[in-house]
Amino acid sequence: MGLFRLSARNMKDRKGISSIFIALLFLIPFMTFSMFLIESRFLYTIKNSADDAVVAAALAALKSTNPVDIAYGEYVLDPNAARDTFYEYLRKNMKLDENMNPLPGSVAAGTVHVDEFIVYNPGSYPTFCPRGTFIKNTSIHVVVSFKAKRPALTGLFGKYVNIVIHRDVDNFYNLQEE
Amino acid sequence: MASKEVKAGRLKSLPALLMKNFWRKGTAEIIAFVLVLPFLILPIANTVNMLTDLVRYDTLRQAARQAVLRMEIEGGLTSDGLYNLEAFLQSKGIDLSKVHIDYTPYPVPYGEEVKIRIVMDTVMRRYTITLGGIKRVDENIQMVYGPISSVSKKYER
Repeated sequence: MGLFRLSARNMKDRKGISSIFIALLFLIPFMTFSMFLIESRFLYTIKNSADDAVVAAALAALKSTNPVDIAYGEYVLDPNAARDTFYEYLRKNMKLDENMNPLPGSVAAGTVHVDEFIVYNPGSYPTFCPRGTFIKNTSIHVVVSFKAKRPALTGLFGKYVNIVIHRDVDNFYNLQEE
Repeated sequence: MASKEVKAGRLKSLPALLMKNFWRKGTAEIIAFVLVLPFLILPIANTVNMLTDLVRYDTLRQAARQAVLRMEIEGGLTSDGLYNLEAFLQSKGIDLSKVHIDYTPYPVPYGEEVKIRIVMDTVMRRYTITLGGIKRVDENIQMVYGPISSVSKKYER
């Protein structure tokens, strides 16, 4: 008997169809889980990249007009100058245009909002920032929010994800990751 | 000379035995499983490759972050800073010959810009199913992190 006829006869009795069916049923949640893994890692990387941009911009904004002050401890920041420097460097680091909209290569998928920007100068600390961090030096409190594009599970969780970054940066800022 | 058992048909030749056993109950399940196997392997292989790429990119990001914080304090990237940056990348298994670092060298006066950008040549590996079976697709790409910039706080009287 030819191999073809043998296999045709065996396929006809539908043996094995259950295996295919179970394997395909298993594939759907398995692939969803794989995509979820990759997506969460991807979004985590986006958040960290934006966090780096915010920290670097906030550190840039901490430049005092008088470097001697900064060298000797307590120093006063001009809130307007600090704000301008922060925006300038945030735009550079996150690849944004003048209106804070993303340029090609940006991690943001929409307008980047600076929700909170507070300069703590001597006299206004020690205190707690609006999000509960203890402020004990001349610092900048900043909260930035933006939308990032979800790469895979858009049908399940929506096309965009909101990312919020909160940082309180002073000149004693250490390398730290949340 | 054939034995009595072979003549009586109780013993069969090896190919005949194999053919008979091949189509036993359960074989169809095995064939079905083998047919479906590539579809199971593919997401695993691609997931691992994608995660590897993301981890590699995150390593570049961490290296740039460490470097920019250091550059901000020291006023540009010193030779010691560059050595540490390269050592960090090497410790994470990155081939330095494929890495290009653009940076603001030390010394940068107080209040001036410092920036860093790390570029790495890498191969993005993915697997796809074609009519001929599973196919590996390698694509040469450049992973770029940055430029990320801040301001030098190096002050000298």
